[in-house]
Amino acid sequence: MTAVLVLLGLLSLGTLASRRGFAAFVFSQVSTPILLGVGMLCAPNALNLLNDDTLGALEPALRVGAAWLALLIGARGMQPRLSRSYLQRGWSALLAAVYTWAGLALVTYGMIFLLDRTQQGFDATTTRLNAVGAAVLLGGLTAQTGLGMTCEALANLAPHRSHRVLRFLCRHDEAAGAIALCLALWLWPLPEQAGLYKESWQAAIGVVVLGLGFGVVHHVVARGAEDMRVRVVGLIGMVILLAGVALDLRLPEAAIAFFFGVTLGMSGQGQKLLSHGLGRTERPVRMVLLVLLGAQLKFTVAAVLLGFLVAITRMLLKVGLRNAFLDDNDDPQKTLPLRALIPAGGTAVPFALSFALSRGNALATSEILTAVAIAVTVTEVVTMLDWRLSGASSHFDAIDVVTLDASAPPTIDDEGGAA
Amino acid sequence: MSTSNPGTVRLQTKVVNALFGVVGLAMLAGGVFGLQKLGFASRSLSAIFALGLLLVGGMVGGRVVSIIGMPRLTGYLIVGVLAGPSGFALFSPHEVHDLELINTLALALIALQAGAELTMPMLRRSFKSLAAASLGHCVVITLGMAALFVGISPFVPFLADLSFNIRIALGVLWGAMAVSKAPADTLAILSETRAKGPLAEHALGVVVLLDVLVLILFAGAMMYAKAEVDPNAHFSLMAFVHLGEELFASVAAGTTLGLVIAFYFWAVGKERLLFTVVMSYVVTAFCIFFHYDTLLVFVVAGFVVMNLTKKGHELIETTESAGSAVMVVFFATAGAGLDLSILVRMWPIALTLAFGRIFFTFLGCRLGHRLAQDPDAVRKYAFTSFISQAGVTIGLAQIAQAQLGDLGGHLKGLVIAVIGINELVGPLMFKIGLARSGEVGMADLHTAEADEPHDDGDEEPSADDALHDENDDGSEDATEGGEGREGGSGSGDDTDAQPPTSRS
Repeated sequence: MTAVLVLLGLLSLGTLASRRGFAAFVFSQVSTPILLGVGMLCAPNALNLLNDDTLGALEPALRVGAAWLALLIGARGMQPRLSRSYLQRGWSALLAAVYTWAGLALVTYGMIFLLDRTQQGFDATTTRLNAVGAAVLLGGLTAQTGLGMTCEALANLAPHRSHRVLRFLCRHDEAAGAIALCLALWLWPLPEQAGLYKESWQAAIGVVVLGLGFGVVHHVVARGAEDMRVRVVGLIGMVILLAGVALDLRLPEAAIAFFFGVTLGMSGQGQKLLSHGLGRTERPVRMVLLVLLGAQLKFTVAAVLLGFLVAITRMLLKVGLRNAFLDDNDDPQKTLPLRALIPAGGTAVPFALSFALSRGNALATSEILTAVAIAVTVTEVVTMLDWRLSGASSHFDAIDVVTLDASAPPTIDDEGGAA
Repeated sequence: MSTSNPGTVRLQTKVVNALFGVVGLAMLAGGVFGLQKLGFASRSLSAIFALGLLLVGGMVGGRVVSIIGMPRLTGYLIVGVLAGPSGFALFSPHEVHDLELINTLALALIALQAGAELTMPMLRRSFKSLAAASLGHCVVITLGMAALFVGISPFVPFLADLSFNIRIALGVLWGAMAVSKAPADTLAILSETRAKGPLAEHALGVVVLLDVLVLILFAGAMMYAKAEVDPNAHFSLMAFVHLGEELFASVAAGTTLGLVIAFYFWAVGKERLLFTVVMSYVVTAFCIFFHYDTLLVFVVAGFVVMNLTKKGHELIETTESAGSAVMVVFFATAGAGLDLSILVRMWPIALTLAFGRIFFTFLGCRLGHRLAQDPDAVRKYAFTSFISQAGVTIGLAQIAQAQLGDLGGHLKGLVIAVIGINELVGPLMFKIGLARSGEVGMADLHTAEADEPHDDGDEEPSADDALHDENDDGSEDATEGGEGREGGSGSGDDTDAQPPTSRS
């Protein structure tokens, strides 16, 4: 009961904080650091408001929350029937995402190698085993772009041709996180205690197969359900079931849920469900996750160094991309949305959390989780400072970094389909 | 040869869709078993898995049984029984116990809604009928079941060796427990069938009233039984004083809660569902701590919101919007919690007691109707609404177990076996009773009629609107068309879930 009350309390605060007026007043632009900070304050080794028992009891909720977020991301990311012209524009965006991912992975690998040499935090054997997987995971998770900020920025500007590319980039960038997670599952050797798989590739393929399988089962189960509420109940049930299966199989539920969401998006069900109010659940759930995550972070020298390095590298790469896109630096139509590319995407945290939970915090996954949290925090704070110092913030109406408009379905104009 | 009859086509579509649901569920179960066989998944599945399975399975089960005219609730129960420890044992009693946190919410929402459905005009109109029915139930069922219990006690293994006095005392205790009803079942069936009319009102009123009266009756019976079973226990009327205090405090707490809810709805009005859920858990924890009657607190709160403020309809909409998922889990968990091994072992006794209870319920209803001169629909079919038994009765049996030790434990086992029968028969009979009385679907008709002329100036969006339509991110999907429309029309048979419109 205590755990339920704590969870509901956090959810209430999250919902309250997600109200625009309140967000503008209290969580103006830097929500992630604040929520993580609140979690850290409540942690067992701080004020002990969230003790180990409560955190343990809340773990199932944490898993379901991470799966739910990933499902929404998958459902809104993939659209059926994209036009050829739109896809062509998207290539440049995808290339940019791959460029950032590869750059970050390379830097992360180098940093782990250095940490290994200096014996700072990472166990030498662990490092050799995990370095590639960790680099791919950290790079992929932090390479994503904050969709909410970009959409918010675009909403405040007159329509512009380049906005479509940006929206596409943001929506599909999040897929990079899921793909990174699968690759990491493959490249990251299994801990001894897992014992359920003989080869790590089975886990990587397993999440994709299970995700698609859940999509098929949901499609069959919800077939003919006229009332949208039945579909919603079915979807909630499937996500809970998915989290349970992932727990039993020791797989990251977020990755499975993402691919499940992709099937919903491809079948056209995703937009219907999102527009039916499910999109609104994203922000409160994410806030709860952030607070609970904050309570579980373990700061080590390696994690802090990695987090800062990734954040700085990411910003440099994104600024480089921004400059490559810009012809005229004074044109707010371009500069404002492109500034929104700097903060890391909202999916980094749930994916990292899900990965850490599935591997039972073994083999330095907790360091990766902490590094992701630090990277997200640093990029958000820097973005806020960038906006403030450049005066860009005056163009925005109380922007909250949390994926505010992430659930907004793309219009025909966004997708470039009808045009 | 074409089957162009719309009714036939609709039935065929429903059958096909339900079959697809079963196939989907089979795929899911097959996948899990396959993973277990291949050694990828552990043997013991988690509570999250159990919850998800009950939700999805319950949804499919509800759709399947609705094809043959049975209430969805029965489908949820059957799925729970099949998946639970008494069936395929997909999860253990420990997982079932873990899910009781969901039941806390379900009970709170059900009680809130039940209280909100009781309006002052309705109570004034049917006060005599409710009082007479309650009296009839308390007297006839208690005495009748006590006599039956004592009569069959020589054939019951754990009663046969007891003295006659103890058997009489336990018989009275059994009789008191037999009076208890299942408010959750009543409300679920009324929601599903969209029933409105004298029978629906009578059923709801009596069930809620008896929910309070049975506590007093049970307390007296328990004192008597304890005094007989345990020679050291002394008979004291102080227990009634304590019970009175608790009931009074519960009413006071319920009134306060009702006013708090109404104030929030009036002052804030947003996120009503989340607020109601939070209050449900907080107040339940409060009730457990202070030993208040949780159900009574929420019933009173719902009653206060409906009758003392203008926010009653919003409360009903809010509780109904959460009801779909919660009800499925609640009833499926109840099914999973039924230990049918006792029923298998003692089925002749359980059947005798279950059918005896139906008989005495019928007699009690007849006595009440004779005293109150009830209308025809009530007189003929009211007894069908009082057969179900669920959470309240199990709660009373648990108290009996705590107070009477091993004997209470045996008694509880028998109670659960009888509940298993009542839960399968009761909802079906009530649905048939409502259909025969012609009240099915009347709530929609009343709502449609009331919508046009009635305007109390309260034009705030409903909780459903807030949940589904009011989209902060401006993501209204214009392509939705009729797909996302809620509320549906027609009888409960035609809709796919409990539609949310209020009956009041």
